[in-house]
Order: sequence, then structure tokens, then C-alpha cells
Amino acid sequence: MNTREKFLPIRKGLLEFVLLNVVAGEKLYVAEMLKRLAVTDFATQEGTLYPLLSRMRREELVDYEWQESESGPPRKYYKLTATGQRTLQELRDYWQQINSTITELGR
Amino acid sequence: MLKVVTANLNGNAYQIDETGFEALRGYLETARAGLAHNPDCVEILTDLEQAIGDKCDTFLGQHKNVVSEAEMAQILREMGPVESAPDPAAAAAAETSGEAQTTTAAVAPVQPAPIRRLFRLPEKGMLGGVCAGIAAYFNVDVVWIRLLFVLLTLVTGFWLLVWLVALFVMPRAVTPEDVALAHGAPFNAQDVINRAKKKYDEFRGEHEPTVRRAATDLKHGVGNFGTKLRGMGSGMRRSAQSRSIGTHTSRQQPGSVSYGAQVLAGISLPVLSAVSAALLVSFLALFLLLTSANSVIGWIPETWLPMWLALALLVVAYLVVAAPIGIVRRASHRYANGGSQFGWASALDAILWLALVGAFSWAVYQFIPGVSEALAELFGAAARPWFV
Repeated sequence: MNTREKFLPIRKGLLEFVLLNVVAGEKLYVAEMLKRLAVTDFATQEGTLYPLLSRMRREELVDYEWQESESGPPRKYYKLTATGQRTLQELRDYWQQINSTITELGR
Repeated sequence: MLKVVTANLNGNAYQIDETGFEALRGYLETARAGLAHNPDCVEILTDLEQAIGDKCDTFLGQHKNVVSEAEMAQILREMGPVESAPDPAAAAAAETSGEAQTTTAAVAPVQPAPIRRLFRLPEKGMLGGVCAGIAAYFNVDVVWIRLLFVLLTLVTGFWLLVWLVALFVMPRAVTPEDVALAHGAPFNAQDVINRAKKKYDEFRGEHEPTVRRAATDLKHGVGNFGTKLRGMGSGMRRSAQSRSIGTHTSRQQPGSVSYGAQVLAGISLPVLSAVSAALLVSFLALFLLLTSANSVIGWIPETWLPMWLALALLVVAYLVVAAPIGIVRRASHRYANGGSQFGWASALDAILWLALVGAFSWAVYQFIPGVSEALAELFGAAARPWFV
């Protein structure tokens, strides 16, 4: 089992945190998010992303608005809500804390 | 000519050929079942339909207005399995009550996978998971496949080679998705049976004649090569024998050899055995490194040299070097035994050879970088050689 495999469940669990980061910068639609994640270790697919985004919207972490596109039908552009901003900050702090714990344990 | 079905994907009509349409319907039905308890089920399905429609658009143009089965399969592969996002509240509850987090977490992930793939399943197999993968593919108990392989190997050793090749050619199932694909996702029982039957028939129709022909060709080729080598060997033995008989007196029985030759052969045998064992172990190590890491201690095969050809060259090189040494060893056995084909010298030498193979394997495993990793990769992390 290599490193990537070992971390598979962890990467899965981190996906929500990763998505909050991705939409924190700018409003994005799903195809753009997928393209951004595709080049990282967090590459994922529509089948995973849509259910996750819908849950995050139910929890009022993200919201979307419809925007016309030059080609094809209007698209859902996702962005962070105020709650989402706050949650992202909390998650980032916690992530930092975990990181430093691991580093310190290794000393 | 194929029948075309028109599908309504989120308000837009798409023409898809019939088999592709069936795959799409299977995907969406599985998704619907998986999202049954999700309050946003309808919205997610609409999003998925829209995304599939967008992907279809990339395949369609002015002079192409039907999505083919292969294109639909690719689209559904890109979409990936629809997983109902686990409810973190439920997961947290499970964690505090000390249960495994995954057990209560909402609905189990649903696989779309109208496609079945041949994977190795090392976790389920005894050695490399080849038989387990084949069993999963054809949906039969793995014991039957193992029995078949063992019986065929007993009849013709050739099948051991088939197993070895399969070990390297079949990709290893890594993610849970791979494992699901190896079994194929049953979205309804009849469909699975039909698909397996169809796939099997196709496979038989397309590949069996060629596979069988290749197998017989290979067997004949190897057989001829072996016969020639044996011929060469006995020729050498005969000439050696005639020389010894010619130079020595009638005191000796026909077929026996002089004491000097016996001692000489006795000294050269261990050396020959060491060379032969080293050759075998280095051949196996090189084969392993080439197939697993795509490189041998820093050397990466040139781009014009495909992997199968590099492996074939390696096998040929090994045979060319090992065969003459084998012949000389056999001849030396005869001398060391005092003229007979079997004797205490042969027995001792066989034991020595086995011990040397063991020792060299251990050394290679310990000291050649990449070998232990390659073995772990091949057989799964749990499998460690007994000598470590």
C-alpha cells in the first residue's frame, strides 16, 4: 500500500474543506471546480461533487446563483456564504493545529 | 446498423444508440436509488443530467448527431459513481459511540459501472489475486478457477506461464471503486447475467482462436528449441565420452569415466551451480523490476522499445545464456557421478543449487533497491517473503 492509498479515506474526508477553499477565491461552476481539482491529489468527479455541494448548500456553507453563459444553458455559480467563511476559517485553524501536532510529535 | 433512442436530459433531446442509452439509464437509476433518502434528490439528478448532456455536446457536431455506446461509456466513467454525501452529524454520533465511522454514515456509495473490468484482487487472492479477479469477472466461486489453473498446470506447465503473465498484465485493483468494477455493479440481476454472457461470448469469439493459435505456436517453438538443445547436449556428451574411452584403457567399463575427469567435474559443478542460480535469480529480479517500476536500476527502456518487447528480449537473453550452462551442468553431473546420469553428486548439487537460489534471492531482496517494494506492490502489503 503506497502513501496515496493510505491517505485515500483522509483525502475523501478532506474534500469538503478543499471545496470551501476552492470557492473561497471566486465564484465557480462545477466544471471549473473539477478542472481545478483534476491537477491535484483531490481529483474528483461529478458523481461525487453534486451530492456534496447540495449537502453543503443545505448546511448553508455555500450558495449558488444562476448566470447566463455564452454557450449553452445558464450555469450554477457557487460561492461561500457568511457561515461558509466562518467555517472555512475554523477548519483552517484546526488544520494548522493538527499539522503542528504531527510535526511536534515527530521531534 | 444500430437503433437510436432519443433521451431527454434536463429538457434537451439527445440521440444515443440503444446500448449507450441502456448504460445511461442504468447509471441514472442507480443514482436515483442511491439518493432516495436525499432531500435534494431531484435537484442533484437534474444537475447530473445537465452535466451528462454537456459532455454529450462535446462529442456531437454538425455531421455527427448520435452519441455512441463507447462515448457514453466514457462519459459515465468521467461522471463517476454517485455517492450520497455522508451526513457529518451521523458520522460524529457514530464516532462518539465508538463505532466505525462508515457503518452508519447515510447511504452506501452507489456504483454506476455498467462496465466490468478485469482486475487483480490481491486482498482476496492467495498469491497475486489473479484467480480471484477472474472469478469476480465471471461471477463464479474463486475455488473453481484455482482448481482449473492447478489442474491445467499439472497437465501442461505452460499454464503456470499464463498465470505469471496475467500477474503482470492484469492491473491491480487499488481503490474500492476498482474492486466494485472488478465485480461489475449489479443494477438488476437479469442485466448482469446478460452482460456477463455477452461479454464472455464476445471474448470467446474475438480472442479464443488467436489465443489458442499463439499458445500452440509458442509451445511448438519452445518444444523445437528444447529438442535442438537436447540434441546438442547429447552430441557433446557423446563426443566427450568417446574421447575419454579413446584415451583410456579397456580396464574401464563402457560409459565410465576416469578418476581425473570425475574430480574435475566435482570441482566445476559447484561453480556451474552458482552461475546458474545467480542467472536465474537475476533474471527474475530484472523481470520484476522491469514490470513493476518500468526501469531497471536507473535504466528506463527507450521509448521505441515497448514493454512487452523488452520483456521478450530479457527472456530470450536468459534462455541463450542459461541453456548452454544447463547442458554443461548435466554433462558434469554425468562425469562427477562416474558415468551415470543419476548419483550422489547430482543429489548434492541439486541441494546446493536450491540453497544458492535461496541465498541469492534473499540477498537481492535485501540489497537491490526497489525489489522489496515491487514485491509488496505485486502481492499486497501484507505479503512478505518468509525469509525476512
